[in-house]
Amino acid sequence: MAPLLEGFAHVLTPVPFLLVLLGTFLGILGGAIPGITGAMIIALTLPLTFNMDPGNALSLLIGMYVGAISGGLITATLMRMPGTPAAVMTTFDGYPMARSGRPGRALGLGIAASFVGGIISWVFLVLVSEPLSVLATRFGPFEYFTLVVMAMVLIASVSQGSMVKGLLSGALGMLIAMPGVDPAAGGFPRLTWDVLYLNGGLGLLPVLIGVFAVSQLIADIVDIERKVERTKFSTKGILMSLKDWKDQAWNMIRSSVIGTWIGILPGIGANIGSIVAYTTAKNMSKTPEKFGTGYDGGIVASESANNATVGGALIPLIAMGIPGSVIDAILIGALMIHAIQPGPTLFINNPEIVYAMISACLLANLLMYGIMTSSVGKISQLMFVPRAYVLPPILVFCVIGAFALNNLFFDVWVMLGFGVFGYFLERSKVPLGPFVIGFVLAPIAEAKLRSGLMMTAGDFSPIFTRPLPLIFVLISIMLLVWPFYQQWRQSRKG
Amino acid sequence: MDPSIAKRDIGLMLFIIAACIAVLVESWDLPPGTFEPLGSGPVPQAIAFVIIGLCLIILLRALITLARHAAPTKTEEQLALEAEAAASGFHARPWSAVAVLAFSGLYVGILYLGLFGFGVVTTVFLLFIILFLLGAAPVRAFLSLITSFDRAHWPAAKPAVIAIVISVVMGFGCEFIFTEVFYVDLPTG
Repeated sequence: MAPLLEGFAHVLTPVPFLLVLLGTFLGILGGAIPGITGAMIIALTLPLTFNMDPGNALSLLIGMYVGAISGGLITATLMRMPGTPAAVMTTFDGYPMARSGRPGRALGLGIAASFVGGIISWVFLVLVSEPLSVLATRFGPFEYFTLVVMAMVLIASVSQGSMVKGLLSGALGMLIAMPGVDPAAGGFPRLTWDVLYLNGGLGLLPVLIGVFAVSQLIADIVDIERKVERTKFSTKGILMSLKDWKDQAWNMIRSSVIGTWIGILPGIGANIGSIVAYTTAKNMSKTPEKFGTGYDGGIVASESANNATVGGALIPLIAMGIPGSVIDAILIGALMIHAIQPGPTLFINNPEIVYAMISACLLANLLMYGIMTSSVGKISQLMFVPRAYVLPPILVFCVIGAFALNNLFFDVWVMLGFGVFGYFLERSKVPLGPFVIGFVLAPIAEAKLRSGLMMTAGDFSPIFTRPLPLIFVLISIMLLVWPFYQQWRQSRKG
Repeated sequence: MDPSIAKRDIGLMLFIIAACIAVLVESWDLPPGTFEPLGSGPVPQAIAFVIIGLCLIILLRALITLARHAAPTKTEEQLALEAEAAASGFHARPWSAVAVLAFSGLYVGILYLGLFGFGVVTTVFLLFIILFLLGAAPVRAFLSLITSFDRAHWPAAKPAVIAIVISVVMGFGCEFIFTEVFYVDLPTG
């Protein structure tokens, strides 16, 4: 308890507090402006944190994370255009409610549900992450390697669209992580094609900014003439009544718990959490036919769950160094840039950073509620700023962001190249989430496998003879086979 | 599968397979490990083989889809886009994206060569790109405004004025903030 209180004491001092406030505000803006995603704004902010204290840098980024997931509801409700993919389900009921003359109420329900989701998942974050990290410290290299493999398969199998494309995306990310000097082979360069700049490998930031920001910019420019439907805004009903709180309490708690546990699963982000919570709320409702027509329960289920995934996804990140979502993969990158080793030893080696992150998560949720309820009207005006003014400055930030880490133009070219590649991946419906998570996890998986083989003199058998690696392998196989089995059963029935 | 996506898949998968073959060739002669049996080569090779396998599956699916839709019928995506274009006047602008990328390459090239400082190059780049995305009308109106001093042109010229303000503030503002506050060594020209 004492370290947690110290964490709070830290984030309540002026600089960290202002950074969390700034992060949350910018995150909300990013979430609310169509074409700017949470991953994009966090990837672009990462270079600005190089000279910051790591705890402060992580606090700023977590504020953005919370803000971006929450801000998406504004566009989802007023424009039927989810500001972030996590708010897709909110459009089903938020927009019809706003169109029926109750935009304030739709936003009020969403803001309150986001707040409750964030708080409930934060409680889980506090309770679960330390025991899980203690468990993870007992993992040997083979346990870790098979856990990472399982995470990769899980990410690919539940990412949107085809599972084969999800797997392809993850494998591509892993391959991109391979070039560079191989420390385990006596500093011998591999896959560098004699390009000196590749000896250090492809940088995390140029790849991240390219894949998430530049590819999105290209897509936004292609669609720049697209007109959006919009509704008039009023703040009436922005604060939920006591009756609403009472009516929606069970829905909020259930959806928040669903969102938290889905967030814990590696690589599964807020969009899946909100879909599952929405479907569950609909299936358990006495009036399922009202869902999709501007129903309170739909907004509450979607928004509680997507915000709850934030705290949930931070659990495997803090406890095991495994990203719970794409944004968590960027946060792992932030830790590495500040020379902090993510993983189970984080609680032992850098407890002050862990508790600063946990405290910042709670503070960001409180600030998000305050900012959203007080200024949602003004924020919503930003949605209608012409994209011709917004996109070019973001492109300049991308260039600076890629250049800033090493002062190398090679990184800028890498960023532009991955931007184009990411755009074509998206056009072919290849999800980008597994790509980035594969890129972050591949070096960990390879290092663990090779150190395990060093310990066993090249013997692979512990993967199948030790209980935990065997369980992880079996789950991976099941995850791979299950969709094909289901397809086969359906075709037989058909 | 949508035939238009199948067509895109074929091009992308062929590109990825070619890249993986390059990886396999480059990694073939890597020496074996000194302290462990695996060495540097097998992991990238295994990943490249997995990727090629997955690409072949996607290619096969795409070819089957295209064979089933041999007649050039309009896809659901194309029909939806056409309906949207008819309803709202929206047209996708892929060539705008190509042009912006080309200008971005030029911008980075000029910065790399160090011909001018970051502030100047960025201001010009931003102004050019914003005006390009806004279209010709605001530029024409702005030129009319400054040549005729006729206030009637102001509403149409306003976006061009905003573009100038954004470009100057962003160009020189970024140069100041990133060099003086965040200590990024931006090119000075």
